[in-house]
Amino acid sequence: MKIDINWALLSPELTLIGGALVIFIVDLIFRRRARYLHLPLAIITLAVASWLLSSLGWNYQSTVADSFFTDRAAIFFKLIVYLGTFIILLLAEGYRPLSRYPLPEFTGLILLAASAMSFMVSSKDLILLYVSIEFASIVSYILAGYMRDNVESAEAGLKYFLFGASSSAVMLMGFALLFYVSGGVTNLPAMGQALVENNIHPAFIIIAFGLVAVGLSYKVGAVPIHGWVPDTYQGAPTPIAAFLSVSSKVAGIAVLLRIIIWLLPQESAIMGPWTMILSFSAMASMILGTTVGILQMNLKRLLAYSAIAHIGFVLIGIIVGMNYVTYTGNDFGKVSVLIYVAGYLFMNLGAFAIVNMIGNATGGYELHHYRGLASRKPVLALLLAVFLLALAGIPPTVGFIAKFYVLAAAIKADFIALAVVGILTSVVSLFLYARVLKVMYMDKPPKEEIPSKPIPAPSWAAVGLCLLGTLLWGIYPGPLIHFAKFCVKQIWLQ
Amino acid sequence: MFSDYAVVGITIIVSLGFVAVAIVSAWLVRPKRPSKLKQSTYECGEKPVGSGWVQYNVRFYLFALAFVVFDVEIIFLFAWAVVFKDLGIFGLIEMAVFIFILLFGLIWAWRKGALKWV
Amino acid sequence: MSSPTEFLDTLLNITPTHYLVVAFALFAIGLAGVLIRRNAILILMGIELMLNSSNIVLLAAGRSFGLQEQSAGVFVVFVITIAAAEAIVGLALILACYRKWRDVSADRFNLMKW
Repeated sequence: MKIDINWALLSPELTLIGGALVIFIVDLIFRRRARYLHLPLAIITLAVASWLLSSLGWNYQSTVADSFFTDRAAIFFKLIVYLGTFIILLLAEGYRPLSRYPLPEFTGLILLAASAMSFMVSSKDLILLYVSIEFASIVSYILAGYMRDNVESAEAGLKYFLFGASSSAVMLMGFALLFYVSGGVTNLPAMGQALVENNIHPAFIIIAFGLVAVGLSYKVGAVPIHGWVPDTYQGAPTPIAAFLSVSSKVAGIAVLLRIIIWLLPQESAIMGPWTMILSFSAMASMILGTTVGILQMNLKRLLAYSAIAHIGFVLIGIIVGMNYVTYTGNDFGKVSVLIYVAGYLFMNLGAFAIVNMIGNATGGYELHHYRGLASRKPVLALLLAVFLLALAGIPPTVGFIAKFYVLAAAIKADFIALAVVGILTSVVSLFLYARVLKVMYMDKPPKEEIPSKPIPAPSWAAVGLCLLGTLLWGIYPGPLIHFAKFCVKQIWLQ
Repeated sequence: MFSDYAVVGITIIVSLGFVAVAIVSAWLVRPKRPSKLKQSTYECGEKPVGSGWVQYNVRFYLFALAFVVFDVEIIFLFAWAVVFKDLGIFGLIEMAVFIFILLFGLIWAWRKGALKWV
Repeated sequence: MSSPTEFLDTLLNITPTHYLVVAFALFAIGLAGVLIRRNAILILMGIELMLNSSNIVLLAAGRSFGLQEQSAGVFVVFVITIAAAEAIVGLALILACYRKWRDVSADRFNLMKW
């Protein structure tokens, strides 16, 4: 038996795993003497992985018996995941409550999670897909409950676990049924073909896809399984909340995109029902995220609900991309998904970074901690305002470009209802974010002084990166749009 | 074809029947004089202390974790051993890496003091 | 001479449908356990039941397609491994919560709401 493996394709993921192992080993050998070594090691690992990724070339390639592939879109999603991981590593350095717990393991686990998400993006085989989704989930459970002596973190971890384990068990049943009805095929494109050719009753496929949808909806935090999002974000260490809200969701979106491309060919009989299910999920996510978000008194919870609403927007892009396919170019649904994801990375991580800094300075995440912040910490208040306005979709930021592209795609493809709900909820979401601005700029600051602790340099670097992305691509979005179109162009090759 | 497995089936039925007959006849014939001492829990002649429903010490849990590491490894080792000759040197290296990672997990747990009875 | 399990299949007239019925019953029991039970450990047991029911579906598929049995078996081995890893992490998290609340009832974990 000869196994052909193109190691170059696997090298970014293997580098990340190797880097994590090195961090564990260094920690084990040198213990406290090497206490500051883990961050440089992790950053070097990420840099090497990104370099290996960019040297792969843009063309479609696959290896290990056609179960692992890369193409332009996969590289795009992986770069987003790595960039998100990098920013989160910088944030974790400035997160005070974490310093009581072993940090090298924390960093190593983040690298392992990044490699798992990378595998998720690249898997073309049912078994690899399931294993990588679970790998990412299990590492995330540990990270969410990492501050185990902190009641809220432990509770956040447990809730994340209970939701995640049960919905992934449901998803596995969906995978098993698909495996059954497709005649024992695990390669995803072949499975999609088999589903069409085997003449299976549509009801059966709808059930199987519904079960898979439960698992994916948990992974991206969209409506049916959104219950864990606010609780986990509030309780988990802030950098991990940011990690779950960006890298983890981006990987989930990539999987969703691949599944609709491979398993739902255009001639599939269940396009209609599937579109309806996704539309319901998108609308419910947007409406619930904005309306319940307005009532929140805790900034991390508020950002959690805003994340649910943003996933609703991404789902609009996916619905359009699934229904209106042009195999050659101008595939605006999928292009809008890529643009949205890239913009969301910068603005959401920026908001979390500032919330993290303010939490360190004032010691809390409740809204009353933000009273009169503008007069006491003008720079932080201004930066938070920029990121929140970007999340709301105000013009000179990337948030506007992202929302504009998604809504334009929906209107162009005649999904008027989705577009109307999207526009209305983004108007309402303005109140959600403006509430924070009002508290910061209009309310009187409390009497007592806040202890001014120095903010570590890595946090500033993270914020700078996010600000650059948010504003630069907001003012000059051309390169981002071109790059997204370039990446989508080859998404059909198998 | 049937006869091979019929032997197994008959053996099962006969052995079950033998046990059933023995238990039922003993139950019919034996005298029944229960006393307090007879009904107490049998603990090798010792008097049982406390309830049987005790909570196990949480510390056992850490050892259970280390056990599972090797417990699950065995599944892969069996599958690997079956096709060992076909896989050749590549399979050997793969499995060495796999076992190294598992072993490292154990060493890590050891150095972090997870194997100590605190 | 066929294998013992195949012999039993023909003797009792077991088709893949029978396996599926067993698997779906197990799945329903597990799901009911997850939704109804309040004790975190019992929820975990329900999840394990659901995973194992999927294993039965996979193996039934492998049996009915003969040649493809390998990929079904591989899938099942990975599912078992993942179930073990998931159970370990889950138990550790339950333990961390137990230390705080002295209770593992899911109703108790209500520090954060809405």
